Amino acid sequence: MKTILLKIYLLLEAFTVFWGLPVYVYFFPDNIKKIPTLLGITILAFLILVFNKKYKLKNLISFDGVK
Amino acid sequence: MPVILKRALIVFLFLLMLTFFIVPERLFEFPSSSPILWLLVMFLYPVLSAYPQELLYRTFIFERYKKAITSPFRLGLFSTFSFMFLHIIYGNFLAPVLPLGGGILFTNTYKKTNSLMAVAIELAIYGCIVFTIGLGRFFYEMAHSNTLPK
Repeated sequence: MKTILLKIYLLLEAFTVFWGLPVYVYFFPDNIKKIPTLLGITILAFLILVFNKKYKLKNLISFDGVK
Repeated sequence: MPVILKRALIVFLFLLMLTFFIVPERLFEFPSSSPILWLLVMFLYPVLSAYPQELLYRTFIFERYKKAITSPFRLGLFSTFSFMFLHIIYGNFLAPVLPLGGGILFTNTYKKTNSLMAVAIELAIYGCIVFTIGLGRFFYEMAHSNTLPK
């Protein structure tokens, strides 16, 4: 049950941020400050990655796997 | 890395032809009309735009939503189409179409390498090509119209 709820939450979050927000900006471009919003989302995403124990932070700057 | 550079050469030739056919009057307009601003964009775009975009659309999506979208193929599709969908904000037909192609390439690179830097560099190269070659206006003018930006 917990897993299903988490999946639903994550899907809602994903579609709201990555699909809902562009639609909102498209229709109401003057209602939102684009650069601070994008900066805020990027910083939030960065922090989520930083606090994700499973994510190796060196991957943010490494070229491992690049041939 | 040589793969990325080879692909960049093909993308450059494709975008060169595209510019020549749809907006020939804008071919290399940016570097020739405002060289200082162009240089600034060439330095700042990779750091302030390409890297954060790839952080969001590749690393973040792949790390955070792998629990919700368990199929790597579907996760790749979500990443690619989300990246394309962001560009609807520019309100012209080309802005979402080119990132669809780019998104497929970046997602593919990210899946193979798991390297944010590799995809950020790839986007930076393509972005700089777009701005240099004369298609930059399609990617910074916010508009509602479905026509070509003036």
